[in-house]
This record gives sequence, C-alpha cells and structure tokens, in this order.
Amino acid sequence: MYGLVNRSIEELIVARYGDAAWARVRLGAGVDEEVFLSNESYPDAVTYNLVAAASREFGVSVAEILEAFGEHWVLKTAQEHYGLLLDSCGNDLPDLLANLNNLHSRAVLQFPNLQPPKFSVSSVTATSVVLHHETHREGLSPFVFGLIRGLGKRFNLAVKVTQVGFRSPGHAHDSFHIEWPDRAGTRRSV
Amino acid sequence: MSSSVAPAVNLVGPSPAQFARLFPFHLVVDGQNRVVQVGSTLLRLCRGFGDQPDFNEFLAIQRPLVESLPGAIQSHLGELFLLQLRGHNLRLRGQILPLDNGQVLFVGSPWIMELADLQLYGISVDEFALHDASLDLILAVQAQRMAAGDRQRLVERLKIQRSELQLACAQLKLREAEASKLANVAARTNNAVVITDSEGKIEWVNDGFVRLTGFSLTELVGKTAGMLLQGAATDPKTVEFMRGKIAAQEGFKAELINYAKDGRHYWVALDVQPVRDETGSRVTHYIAIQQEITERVESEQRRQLQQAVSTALGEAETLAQGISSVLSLFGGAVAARLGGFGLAESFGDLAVEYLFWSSGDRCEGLPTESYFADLEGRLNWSEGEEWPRIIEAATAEPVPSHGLSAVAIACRADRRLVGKIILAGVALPKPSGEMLRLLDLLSNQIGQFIVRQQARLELQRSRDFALKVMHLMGQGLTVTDEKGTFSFVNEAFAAVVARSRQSLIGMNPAELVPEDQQEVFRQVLAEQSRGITSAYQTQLVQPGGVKIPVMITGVPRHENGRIIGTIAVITDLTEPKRVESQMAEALTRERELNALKSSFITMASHEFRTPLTSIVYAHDLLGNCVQALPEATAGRAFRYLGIIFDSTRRMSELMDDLLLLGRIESGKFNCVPIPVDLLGFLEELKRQAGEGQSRVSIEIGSGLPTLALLDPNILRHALLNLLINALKYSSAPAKVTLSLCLENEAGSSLRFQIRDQGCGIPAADQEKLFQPFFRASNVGKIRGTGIGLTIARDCARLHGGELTVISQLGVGTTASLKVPYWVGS
Repeated sequence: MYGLVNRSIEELIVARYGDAAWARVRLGAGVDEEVFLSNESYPDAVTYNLVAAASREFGVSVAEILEAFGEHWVLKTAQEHYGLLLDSCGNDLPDLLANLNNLHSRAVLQFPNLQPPKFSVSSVTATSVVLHHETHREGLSPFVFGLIRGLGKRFNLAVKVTQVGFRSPGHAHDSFHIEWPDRAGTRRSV
Repeated sequence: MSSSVAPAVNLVGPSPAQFARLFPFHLVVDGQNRVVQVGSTLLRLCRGFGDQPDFNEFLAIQRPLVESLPGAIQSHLGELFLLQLRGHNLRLRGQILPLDNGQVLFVGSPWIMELADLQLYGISVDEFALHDASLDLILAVQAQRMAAGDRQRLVERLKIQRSELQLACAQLKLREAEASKLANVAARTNNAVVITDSEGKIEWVNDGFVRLTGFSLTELVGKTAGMLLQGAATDPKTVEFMRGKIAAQEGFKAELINYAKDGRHYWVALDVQPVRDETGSRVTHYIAIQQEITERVESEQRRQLQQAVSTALGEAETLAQGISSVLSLFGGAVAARLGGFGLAESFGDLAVEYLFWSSGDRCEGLPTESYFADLEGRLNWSEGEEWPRIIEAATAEPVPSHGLSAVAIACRADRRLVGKIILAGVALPKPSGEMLRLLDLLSNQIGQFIVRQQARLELQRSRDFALKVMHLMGQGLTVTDEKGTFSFVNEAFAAVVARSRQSLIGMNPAELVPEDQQEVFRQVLAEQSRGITSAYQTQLVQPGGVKIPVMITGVPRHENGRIIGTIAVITDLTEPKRVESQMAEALTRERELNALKSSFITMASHEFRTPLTSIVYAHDLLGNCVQALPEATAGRAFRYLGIIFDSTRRMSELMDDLLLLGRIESGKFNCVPIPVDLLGFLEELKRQAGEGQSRVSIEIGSGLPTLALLDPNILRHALLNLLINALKYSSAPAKVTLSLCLENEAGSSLRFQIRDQGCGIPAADQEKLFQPFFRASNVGKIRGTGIGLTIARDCARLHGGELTVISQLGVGTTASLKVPYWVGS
C-alpha cells in the first residue's frame, strides 16, 4: 500500500481518538515510521497491522475499522487531495462508480507500484446499481462498504448496500447491490 | 458548432466528429485568418462563435510573437504556440500544422497548473481527450504536492525530534551532572547504597554499605542482598512483601533486620527504587538505600513493648490471659520461636502452673495461641535440654543444640521469685542490653500482676466464703443500692418475708412494711440517708398478709465519702417476743408473790408483836410476883422467867429483822443522807454492840472527812448486823476490828470493814451466805436467824453500795461494805 493509505488511517484515528491513541496503535502494530510518505510504497502488512492494532486498542472489530476507514477515505482523504478530480468524474453516483477505473488508471501513472482494484457496474437502474469489486487483497469487503457509504454521503444519498456476491475460488470479485431512494438529490453535496 | 464552419476536408482520416473528440481543443484557420473548424470543448468555451469568425476576435497569439497563424507558418512552424482566449483566462498550448489547402491546423490543450483550474475554467474531465496527458500531469503535480506536504511534515517532525533531542541532551547532561553528584554523594554518604541488576544481583555498593555490613564489594558482586544479609530474626512477612514488590517491578520502602558479616544484627530502613530503560517499560536496575535505624527501632519497640505489656496486664482478667499476652509480646520482642512460663514452686496455689506459647510466624506446626500443657511431663526450667526437642517437634527441622539460645527472665514481687519466663529459638539474636533491662523491669510488673491475681483469687474465695456465711446466717441480711432497692438479700431474709431471693432483688424495702408503719420507716430511711445508724422494730408483711415482727439494724454504705446504700441486719422477733412475753408473765407472778410474802411478813410481824408485847408485859408482872415467892421457889421461877425473856427478845429481834427486810423489799425504806460524824458513828456502833464491845477496836484511815453525808439508819442496820456476827462467831478474847477508810484516793466511796478472828465460813457455804435464813454448817449451837447478812447486803444496795465477805475457815472473816458518800451539809 502507498503511504497515503496509512496516512489516511492515521488521520482517522487521530481525529477520533487523539495523538496518544495513534501512538499506542502504531506501537501495537510494531510500526516504527513516525511519518508515512504518501508516494512511498509500504508493505501491505503495515496497513493490516495498523488496522488490527486499532481493533485491539479500541475494542472494535477489524470490519468496523475497515468500514470506517473506507468512509473516511472517500470523505476526507480523496476529497482533500483529489476532490476536484472526483468532482469532474461524475455528477452522480452511477457516473462516479463508472469512472472509478479511469481514476485508478490515472493513479497508476503516479504510483507505479499501485495495484488498484478493478471496478465495474451492472444492473444500472434509476435507483440502484450493482458494483463489482475485484482485488488480489483479502478481506477488504468492509472497506468497500465504507467507500460506498462515503460516496452515498458525498451525493447526499441514504444508500442501502448489500453484498450479493462473494469472492471465492472461481469467483474473482465481490458484488454489492447499492440502492437509493430516487435520482433526486444524487448530485453531490460536497 | 455551426455547420458552416465545419471542416470540409478530411485531413487524417477520422471524421470531423471523431477528430473533434480526439482533439477537443483544436482549431483550423484559413488564409484570411478565419476560423473554419474548431474542437468541441473549445467551441463550448468560445461563446458567440459566429460563422467563420475572425481568429483574432476570439483568440490572441501570445507566443511566438506573430500576428496570425497563417503568417507564422514559414518561420515559426517548429515552435510552441500559446493562444489566449479573449475575455477568458484560459490559455491553450499546442502547435500549428500547415494544411495542403493553405489552412493552418492548431492542435493543443488547455494549460492548467492544478486541478482547481479545471473548475476555474469550467472544464470537466470528460472534456479532455483520454490521451491528453494534461490531467495526468496535474495529478503528477498533485502527487508532488503531496510529496512536498510529506516532506514538510517530515521537516516538521525532524524539527520536533531535533528539539526533543536537544532537550533530551540537555536533560541527559543534567542527569549526568546529577548522577555525578549522586555518585559522589552515594560514595561518601553514611547511608548504605547498593545497585543491583534487574534480578537483584548486586553490581555496586558504596563504602557506607561496606562499613554497615562488613562485606567487601568483591564478596557482594553477583549475589543478592537477601542471601547475604537476612537471617533468623528477619521478619518473613517483610521479606515476602519485598519479593512481591520486586516481582511487580515496583519501588518500596521497608524496615527489617539484617545481619552483618560478623553476625551482628541491625535494623535498616530500606528504600528501593527501580531504574527503567528509556521506554520506561523495562526495569534494568534497582537502587537501594539503607539507613541503620537500630537505635530508633529498638527504642520504639521497647516503648511499645512497655506500653503493650502494661495494657495487657491491666486488661487481663485471669493469670492465663495476662501471661499469654506477655509471652507473645516478649517473644516478638526478642524474635523467639517458643516461650514458656511457670509459677515458682514456692509461690501460691494458683491453678495454672505452666503456660507455653509459640510464634506462628516462626514456628509452623504449633498453634499460635498460648495453651496449657505439660508436654509429656513438666519442663525443668533449670535445664535447657528440652528446648531443642520442643522446637524440633514444632518446626520439623533438626535443631542443633549449639544453635539454640534462650532468654530466661525471673518474675519477682517484693524480691520474692513468683514465676519464670523462658523465651527460646534457634540462633536467637542476643537482645540488646536495653532490651534485657526492659524485660527485667517488666518482669517485676508481671510479678506484681501474679501477686495481684493471687490476691484476687483469695479475695474471690473470701467473697465466696462471706457470701456463704451471709446465706447461712440465721439473721436476715439485706443490701440496698443508691436507689434504695435491694441489691442483695440472703436466704434468711427471704425466708422471713416468704419470698424468693430473685423476686426481692430490685424491690423497694418499703413494699414489705405495713401501711401503718410507713411513716416510721420513712423516718428511718431519712436518718440512714444522713449516715445515721438506726435500730428499730417494725413488721414485715409476707405475701399472705402475715406480719412478722423484726428488729432492723441498718448502717449506711459509703464509697468515696458518699452514701451509696445501706446494709441491714433483720432479726426475726417472733420467738424472742414469745419468750419475752412468758418472762414478763413469770416476773409479774414473782412480783405478786414477793408482794404477798412481804405483806404476809409485815402482817405476821405485826400480829406476832402484839402477843409478844403481852408476853413481855406478863413476864414483867410475873417478875413482881415472883419476888414474893420463897427464895427456893423464886430462884427457879426467875430462871423460867429468864427463859421467857430471852425467847421473847429473840422473837422480837427476829420480828424487827423481818419487818426491816419487808420494808426494804417493799421499797418503803428509803436512803436519806444526812451529815454524819464518822468517828462518833463508829463509836456509837461499838457501844451498841453490847457485851462484846470491849473486844472491838476502831481503826480510822487517813484523809477521811470529819463529816460525810450518809444515811446512818441504813448503815447502822447493815454494820451492826456485821459487828454482832463478828463478835458472835469469835470467842473472847479475840479482837474484832471495825475500820473505816476511803475506798480510793479519789475519795468518792467509803469502805467500812469488820474483821474477826473467828471460826470462819466453810468455802462450800460461802456462795449461799446472802440467802435468807441460811446458816453456815459450822455455827454449832450459836444462835442466829440467818437473815442478818441478807439485811446487811440489802441495806448496802439501798445505800448505793455493795457488800463483800471474805472468809477462811478457822482463820476469820472480813466483811467489807463500800458505800458512796457526799461531803458537805
């Protein structure tokens, strides 16, 4: 993972629990780095250890941590650094979901070691869509839940997310059914 | 876009629409510098584009410096062109390409510095061609900005770390300076300082430690302090506490006994603090500072021991309680394992003879409380062989005989040995001199305590005995308290009032007194409340209404000068009253008989005197007639007349005596003192003695008054009877002495004494001398009535005096009459 991800986790924990808590999480994860370089690639284990340490420190499940992180990633990190790009990537949730691959393709240019997930959409209706998420990494479906909820908030939508497909041998991706009340208000609110 | 300006030439193959999609910011101008073709996005941005508008109307060439695109074809074909949209901040960067038909193609894209420019220029991402690198360049810039941000944060962090490092260096220098000072202090302080590793093994000690323990640094390094310094007297609980703290890696303070190399033990105050690594999570060393506090601790221990022993002895109710407390306290003071106490053989009869104690801390296996036991035979206090066996049995440890030590303490009271205390243990540290002196001092307190306990037992026995006596005594006994209610009654009292003792406790005595005697009872109680002892008769009422006459004698009870109740003895007068009544009846009958007797004697005397007077008168007449008779006849007649005369005289005298006795007994003869010439009185008595008066000699004592107030009539009756008796029972020429003297120097009484040298009175008869009509067995034919001494005694009593007779058979008799007298007229 690139340092930007770990930084985002740091920001999330500091915002919610303070600097001392972050120091304990970092200590618990066995992470020596005091500053994560956004453009630097770090082993995935660093990110996983941070999430696990946060889970132990705060007594919440890893899934809850990942889901919170996904929401934070969309609403804070991506917005801070690529907000305008996001703004330009679509005026509603389906458009944005459809542009996710383009976004990641551009990101690969900046981050050569980036191994981004693949997104695709299907079953698009006026109030729902099915998002397919494929990655080589394990256990990130809660993160996708958080991402979708964050995007819903970005467009001021009370989205309902249900995982309808699960990654398994012979089935390379997770699938999420996303629905929202109607098209009205799908314009982003931020 | 207007269709009129749509390109008519298919330049590179794609259709104009495809070309416009591939190059949304391109434009084509003709030779007149009119825009004939334009990309889709540029067309949207250049609002108001008319039909083939003039290039310059909407755009300006900033670089290179040329007037128009067609004009620049020849000389600036290979240069980068910058076009500025008029009325717009957007600049296009690109290149020109001359077309075959004389037109010029400009292909470019917006010059954007950051993503915000997209919003500024109103261009969306999808308005760029996908191959356009502008967005990616922007993202690259954004990435660089993030990197710059990261660098900035790194710089900030480095600054912070630098500050922290500088601070740490400063603190380190301070600590080094402090450590240097502390090291100097540690090396020079009198306190013992020891530094150990995390496992407690000694790494360094200062000179103070060496001085205190006697161990050198070489001997100490690598060993634990406890291994070298702790011993038998070290409190195991304290050791356990310290180990727990070390295990928890916590600092602590403790006071305990340590041993020096030479075996000397001493008290230290220990302050141990862990030294942690930089993270604070791991203990690397311990620093311990020891200060010897032997004098303070022992002084405090002695003070506490003294206080505790005094308290224990003061609160103990029995000997066993007191001694067991003392053994525990003494044992703790000298760190003994076992203790024992025994009464001196020569002292007392208290039930407890031996008392053992063992310390639970140091003597597992024996009960911690004191207990009585003989331990297979009584311990011989003078020999120590028993102690190893006892300790060995108690601790299940072999005890070397040479390791055993004991402290023996004699308990004395008034220099008399009353008990012994022995405290023993393995390697018992020798108590200090002060401690031994204190134990000796306290042992005297214990001796006094033992004596007090003995006295208490004796007092208890006395109380039990007194209580038994009180219950067994025939008279009732009650004790009342300050409220005036019974606090004690004995069995006899309960029997008198026919109630149980229990029901009487708490009862007011007034409830037992009849209604008509309540007033008297209240007065008595009032007197008693003023401290007056009272004795009075009253009645007590039994539950059935029977009234029992009683005599109550009450005395107040005092305590600290205050009356706190009464003690009363109640005598049941039922039987004495009955006896008294019988006696009164007998006395009345006797008085009546005496009165009858006196009346009879008086009457008989009077009745006898009249015929006697007639006989005397007839005797006198016969005497005149006899003178006329012939001499021979007359002689015989005179002899008979003499017999008649003597008989009538004796009878007359007897009548006189009987009358006198009757008068005395009837109380009609009173003592009337008058001035009496004592010598003349005696001489008159001598004369009245008749024929024998010549044998009477008078003796007068010294200091006698000439006149004394006496009743001469009474005294004459008494003394004349005695004088005539003396003459009668002694033969001539034996002398009879009539003497008078003062009874004593004070001179309030006179003593008349008649002493003869006659036949005396047999001893067996002397006790009956004063009975009327009694005559001694040796009087023979000497005539007498036997009432003379009775009259003399009664007359003596009538005069307020007394008569005593001392006689020895064949030697003589002395009668002494002592009477009071008065001087004056």
